[in-house]
Amino acid sequence: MSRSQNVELTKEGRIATIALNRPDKLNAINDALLEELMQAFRRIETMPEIQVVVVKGKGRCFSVGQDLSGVNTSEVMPPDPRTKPYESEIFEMARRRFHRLRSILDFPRFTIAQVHGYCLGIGCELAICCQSIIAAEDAVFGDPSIRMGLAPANPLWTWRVGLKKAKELLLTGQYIDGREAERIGLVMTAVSLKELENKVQLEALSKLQLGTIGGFDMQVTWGQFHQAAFETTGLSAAWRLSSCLHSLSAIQRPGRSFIDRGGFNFYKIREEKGLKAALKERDEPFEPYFPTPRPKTGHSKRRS
Amino acid sequence: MGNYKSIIYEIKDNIGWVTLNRPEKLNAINDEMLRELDDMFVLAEQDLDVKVLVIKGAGRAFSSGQDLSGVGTDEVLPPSPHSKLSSKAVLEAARRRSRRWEYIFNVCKPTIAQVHGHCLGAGMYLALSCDLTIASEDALFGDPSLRMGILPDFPLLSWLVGVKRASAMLLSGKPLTAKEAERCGLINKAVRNDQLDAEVSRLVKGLSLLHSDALAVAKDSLNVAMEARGVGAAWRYTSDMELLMQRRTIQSDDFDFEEMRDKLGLKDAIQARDNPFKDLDR
Repeated sequence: MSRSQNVELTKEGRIATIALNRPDKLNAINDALLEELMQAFRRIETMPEIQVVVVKGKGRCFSVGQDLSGVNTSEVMPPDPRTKPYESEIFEMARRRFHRLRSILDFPRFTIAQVHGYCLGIGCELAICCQSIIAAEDAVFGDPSIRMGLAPANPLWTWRVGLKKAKELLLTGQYIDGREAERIGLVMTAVSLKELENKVQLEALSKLQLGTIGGFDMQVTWGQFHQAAFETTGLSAAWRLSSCLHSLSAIQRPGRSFIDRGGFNFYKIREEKGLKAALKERDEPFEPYFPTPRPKTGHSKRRS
Repeated sequence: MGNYKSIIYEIKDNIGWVTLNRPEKLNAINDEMLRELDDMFVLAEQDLDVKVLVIKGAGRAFSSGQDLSGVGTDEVLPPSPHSKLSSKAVLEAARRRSRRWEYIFNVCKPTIAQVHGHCLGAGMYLALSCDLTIASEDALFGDPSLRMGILPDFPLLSWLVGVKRASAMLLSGKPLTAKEAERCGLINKAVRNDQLDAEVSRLVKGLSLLHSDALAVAKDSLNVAMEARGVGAAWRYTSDMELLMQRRTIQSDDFDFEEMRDKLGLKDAIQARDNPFKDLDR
């Protein structure tokens, strides 16, 4: 039923499935994919028969995060600071980014992220904005933004795993596997990859069957209370500020006050040696200190 | 670095190592140590050569908390209800105390507390104000302040572990073991005693490879979540409550820590303080 290429929307009974569909790029999220993703959510909102939405990735993983190729990514990635972007531009982008992800968290259906393989950066943001995450034990979660000089843009992490763990993950950019994610409360359940699909279906069906008296109305109303609880603890205020701080970090020109990695400049290395080399140089120095768990199922190649 | 007596401050490989250094007093925090910590944080924050700060304790413990001896402790301890200080003076002191924890919490560099042994009272506030808290399994986290009529003034605790657990900790004064503290999100990690050094050095070496500006902004972005939940206001409110607590009238059957200390000496006074809670502490 889907006309778009990068996102596949399917319906089965009262369950809708949004599948990120750029498997050759490990579902890296570029502007086109992002737009189609938001369209898919908007379409589901007009379908009263749909009560549960499953979000997943096609191919080897959920999503490696922002597409870092620099092509068709002006909405998912802040501009290269060397291009001297206008502040207004990047703060407008911060605002759009906040509203977009906030609306996914506020989506008026029960949302489940079905995660296997890499789930990084903005891909991970998408997952934590779902009501629930069910993951394969060897899935890999994380946000390496800080390694490119970017502050995290999404404070929801702190609500999901607590301040100490959020800092441990986001200040170091380290990756954790599905089992550890379950232990710290990021993920509801971690199961073997074989069981993943079934577990998610079971969870989706149980959401459909529970509370059939109040049914869908009850679910939507409960969702509003749920969101209000977030708001009274200041989530949106924090989110707006974090988005702006993310933008602020993006206009920081690399090179100043670096000490050890003397001016690691992702954009420059990508330009000179290509994306793969830039990613390698971004992550390799941290490997001895924060070893990356490798998904057994996926491929060792990573794009974000 | 610096001309310090109660702490040691060294910079190695762009990492600032701070050691609380009153081992014979289990690194009890007195005014001198506070002043030196204040001074060090300001220096370190501005120092472009320092990417990350580690705070640890010399000897058997991280810190047993506020120095309760009453000598050189006007700043670290709230004044006794017996004192005739003006309300303004007491409020000022309380504000200074809460601002200090807020400042350390928001220092524009990542900070790590490396904790072993006792980590109580103000020692625990210091360890929790750091961004990451890594402990060995022998560490104990708690705040016995209420047992001697001092109001705990570290509201961040409730945001870290939730209101229920914070109440249990503060109202009982019973410390948590490192494993318990890890489970409830008070600290990042509890590791075997012999692995503490290695764990912390792995972490700081990794951190020290990152961009200082990005780290500063990222830390701020994460602390924003606490600010949005009102931790700043809670800090101010707690220091007002501390003022009220200081103004209370001591009843004849109240446990009067200071009187006890002056009569029996510090050690016996602490024992008298904790004795009624023996069953609880077991």
